[in-house]
Amino acid sequence: MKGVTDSESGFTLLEVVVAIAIITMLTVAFAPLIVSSVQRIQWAGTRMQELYTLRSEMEKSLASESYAKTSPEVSTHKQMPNLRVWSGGSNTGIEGLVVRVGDFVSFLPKGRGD
Amino acid sequence: MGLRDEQGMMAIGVALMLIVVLALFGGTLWQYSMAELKRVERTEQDIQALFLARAGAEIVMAAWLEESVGEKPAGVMERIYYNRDSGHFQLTEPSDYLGYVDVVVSIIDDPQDSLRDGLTQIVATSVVDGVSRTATATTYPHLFGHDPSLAWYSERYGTIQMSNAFAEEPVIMRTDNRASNNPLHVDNTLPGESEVVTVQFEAPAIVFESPMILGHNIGSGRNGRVNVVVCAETIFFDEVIVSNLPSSKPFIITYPDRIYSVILKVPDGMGILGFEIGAEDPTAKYGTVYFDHGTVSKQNYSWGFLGGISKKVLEVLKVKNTSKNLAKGAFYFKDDTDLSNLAADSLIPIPDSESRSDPFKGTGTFVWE
Repeated sequence: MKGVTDSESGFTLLEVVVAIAIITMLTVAFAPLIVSSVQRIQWAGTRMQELYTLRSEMEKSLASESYAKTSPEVSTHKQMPNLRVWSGGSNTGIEGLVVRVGDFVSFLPKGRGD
Repeated sequence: MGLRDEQGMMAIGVALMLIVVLALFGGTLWQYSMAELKRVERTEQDIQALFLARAGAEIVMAAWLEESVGEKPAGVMERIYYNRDSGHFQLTEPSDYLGYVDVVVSIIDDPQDSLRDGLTQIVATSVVDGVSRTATATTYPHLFGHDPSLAWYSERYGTIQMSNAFAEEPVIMRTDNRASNNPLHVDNTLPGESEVVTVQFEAPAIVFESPMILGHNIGSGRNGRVNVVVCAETIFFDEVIVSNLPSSKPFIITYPDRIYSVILKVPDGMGILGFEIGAEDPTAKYGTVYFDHGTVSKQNYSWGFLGGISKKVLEVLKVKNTSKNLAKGAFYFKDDTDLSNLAADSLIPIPDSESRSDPFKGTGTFVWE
């Protein structure tokens, strides 16, 4: 069989233009998929870093009541209303701070953490 | 060029290959990005669930700490929800909630492990969007001084019981934080008695989480001299105020001494010798003491003409012959150190030490597992 490289015939201009058009069309067709995927991967990396930062901020807030009250990262901290988690004893409710950092929420009882 | 010739076939092949490669590349990238998104979402829910579980454990822990012995929460607690709208934890199911926590309080039954057997354990399991996390907190191996097995003081009132006591485990001295005016104090009225009474509490380590204000109720206190001996290799104090009310005879009646002091002692077979820390007396035994609070003082009182008691100056206790306050300090203490009568070599500052040593630093009654 005669090899491709041995052939003396080349491509016409029209063939080349059509080939480029097909390649362009294919690339354009797949481009949004590729671009959005890359963007998603980038976003995931950034968000993951953000989550670890928020987690660390949350740990710091839970370790210190005064930090939790003053930290600009703590979006809200409020006094807990009475919460009676069990029916026995003389327990009338629990007081403390609801500590919220980003989408993370936890609780710091009054008098703990300092 | 026809489709049937070689170049035509090759062109179709190349085009198809390009389609396949691009599709494969795009598809893989898309799948990877979706997996990353899922991973981020899962991590976020996992962390949310972790903090929610800790919140549940903290809430129950706070309830546990508030209750006196015998009334502590046990078994399955009410389910706790976090309401997104109000930003509060609540027991009824809200319409929009982040997740919920189920908490169980149990006593560990493990005869094989004497250190864990009988400890209280709080297990909180939270669920956020189907992702579940568990947080476990366990009391560390210690007793409270007010536990019935010791009964060193009244948890409710802080009154020190005047009988010697010994424990093999570290002991936490903490009064009921709901009651006001309940520091650890001497309050044992015995009119007419005027003698030296010594009460000794002995354990490997004693941690005072409540103030010890010995003359808190000095008006109705015990006559004579009361020495509260804290015998431990390691002692952590909160606020400490010893009291001095010397006898007086302003008219015909003689009013007695009411002198209440704290003596630090090292248990037999424990402590370190003086030569190890460069003390003047190389053979003397030393323990370690940490004063966490900003007040370590002697409260001076005096009898009035008609028997009333008036407060005199509060004398800040200092290391003998120096200006170093005991408050917020860490020291090696010599065996038999009397806080109200400090000898020159009785307290040696521990260099580069914080007021509380690491093993107990930041620990509450519970430790996270």
